[in-house]
Amino acid sequence: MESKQAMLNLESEELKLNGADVLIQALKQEGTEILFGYPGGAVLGIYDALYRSPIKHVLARHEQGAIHAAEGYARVSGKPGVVVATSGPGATNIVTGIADAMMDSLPLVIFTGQVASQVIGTDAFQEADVVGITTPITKHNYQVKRVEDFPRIVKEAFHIATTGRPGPVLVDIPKDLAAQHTAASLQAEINLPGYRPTASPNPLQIKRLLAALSESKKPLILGGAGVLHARASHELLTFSERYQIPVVHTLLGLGGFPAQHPLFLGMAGMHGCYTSNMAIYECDLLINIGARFDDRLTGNLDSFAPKAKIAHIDIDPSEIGKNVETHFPIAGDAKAVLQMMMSQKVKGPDSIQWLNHLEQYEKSHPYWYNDTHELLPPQHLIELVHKHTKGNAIVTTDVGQHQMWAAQYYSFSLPNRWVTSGGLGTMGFGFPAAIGAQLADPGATVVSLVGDGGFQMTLQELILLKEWGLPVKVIIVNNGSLGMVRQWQETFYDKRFSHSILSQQPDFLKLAESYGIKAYRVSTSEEAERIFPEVLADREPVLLDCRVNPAENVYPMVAPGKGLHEMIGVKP
Amino acid sequence: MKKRMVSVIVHNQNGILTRLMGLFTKHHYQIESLAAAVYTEAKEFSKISVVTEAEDDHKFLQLVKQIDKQIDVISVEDITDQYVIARELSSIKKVLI
Repeated sequence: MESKQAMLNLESEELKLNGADVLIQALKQEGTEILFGYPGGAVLGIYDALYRSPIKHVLARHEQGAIHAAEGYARVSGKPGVVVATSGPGATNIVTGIADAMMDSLPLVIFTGQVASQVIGTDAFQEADVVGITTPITKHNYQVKRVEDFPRIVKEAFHIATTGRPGPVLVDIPKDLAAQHTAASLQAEINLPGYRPTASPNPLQIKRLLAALSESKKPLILGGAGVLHARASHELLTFSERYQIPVVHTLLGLGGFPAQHPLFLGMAGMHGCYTSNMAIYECDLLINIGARFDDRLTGNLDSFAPKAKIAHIDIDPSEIGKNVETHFPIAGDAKAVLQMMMSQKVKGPDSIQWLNHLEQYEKSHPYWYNDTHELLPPQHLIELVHKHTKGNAIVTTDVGQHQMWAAQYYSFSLPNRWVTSGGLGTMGFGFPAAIGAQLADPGATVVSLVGDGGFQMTLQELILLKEWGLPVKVIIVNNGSLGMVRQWQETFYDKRFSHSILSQQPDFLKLAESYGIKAYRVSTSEEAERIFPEVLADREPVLLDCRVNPAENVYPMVAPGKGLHEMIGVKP
Repeated sequence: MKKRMVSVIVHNQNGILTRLMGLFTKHHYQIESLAAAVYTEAKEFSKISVVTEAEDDHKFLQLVKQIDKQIDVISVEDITDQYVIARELSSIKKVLI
């Protein structure tokens, strides 16, 4: 009798739920603990349901801040970042972040409000065709048409965002549907007959690759972000150690292999190190694990790995053969493929000579910079950050010179500690991403390395450090310019610095002060050396305005159209 | 330029046609003919046939792979070199002016 009563209660409880309630319940079922968002007219219902829910909500001060924070959260936690934005301008403000997450394969689930069903298509107040706008930059998107579909769509959205090659999934919710009541069960079934996210690797291709490895004299592994997404760092280390294969990383792959390891050569690509780029040029077998042969990595394709047979391991079959002809195409999850490769023991390559040869390169052509002793070299600043964080910090960046120096001089030894905008190259990404990263790992030291240009794109999020008590260290690598633009103008446009010098700057110390955040200015190596221990020991947010040598450029560099072996600015 | 034909079976969900056509646009393929129809025996699915012109076989293969990657695509086939029955619809056009 009692249980029957309970069932009746439950039924009537369910009947009381509206679309927004169902959404919040479904989010809880998916294990969502935190939302990043900004309210507005079309999501008032969702925010009302949120008011009654224990899910935390981070109120960014601009939707772009919310979505980059969600990206940082996703990168560090490995869980999907969940974002809420309102219709029209709210939704268009997150477009950059969606494209960024798509390019760097970050799992996001984004909910946007939409005007009421009956006025969709009438150019109603705050209406934008969000599904249309985001179609090319989402892994998948939905517009909810019936309130009964909420549970299924939310379930599918999380499933799609996190499986296979991760990516952003958007759900557009008309305002009236969020308010409509439903008796729909929360136990929805996924209905995706066309979605086959887990490709199982072809054993024959793996056998052929292992046979080629045995024959190889100059093998090389190129590790991309796919290694990190698959949580396959341990397998990568075991595999490369077993067969003594040296490893290079893409920009986004950094941290997938310990930087101090003798088999690690460094980052490859446009601003990669000499050894890595020459290793790609000279190798006879290139095993690409989870990288997509981006043009910033390959340089001129005509002279990319010209002597090598190429193996490409990727969870997304459409990446294989896209840019580079592949001899051993292996579609599959990096971890599964590495495990399968290690289940078979074959004769290893005879790589001693190759390793010795590369070691010579490492000795003769390391990264280098001029130390003038008067001005703070930005590269040394990064070295100091590394020294004082013992290489354990989560480092987030914007895009540009400071990003490349961070990639070159902060030796990443742990996976998922490096949060940067690779594919899209988004200025303004680094600071909000640090907020998400710190929320994902509250105990970690989070350093947000930003340029003075990029920081000004999203600095309004400073208030979140105060609001959430986040001890993020904001380090502005301040060279008073859009450094990478300036560098290209210096090199390729005959020093015509067209609109790349930021002659007027805010006083970043006063700015921090107005947000209630401690701030210091640093202009020399000595000052930096003195202040870092105190700043990093402090569990409070700190902003450092580091005035670095404005004339420094990022080297070495592969100029556009050139091959990886034609670097300029190599240590003489 | 080689005439190319692809046949795609899709799960009928909102926006799938836009997604597919977006891929053709992104790769700079002009669509010569497009036919889409629901399967009478399985209304959950549709067949979409596209005729286009492509110069580079390799690039076209990438497009086919990217079509296959779409969540609501059940299967895609490049049927250019297969025996197919091609039909054209003759229509009377109104003369302008």
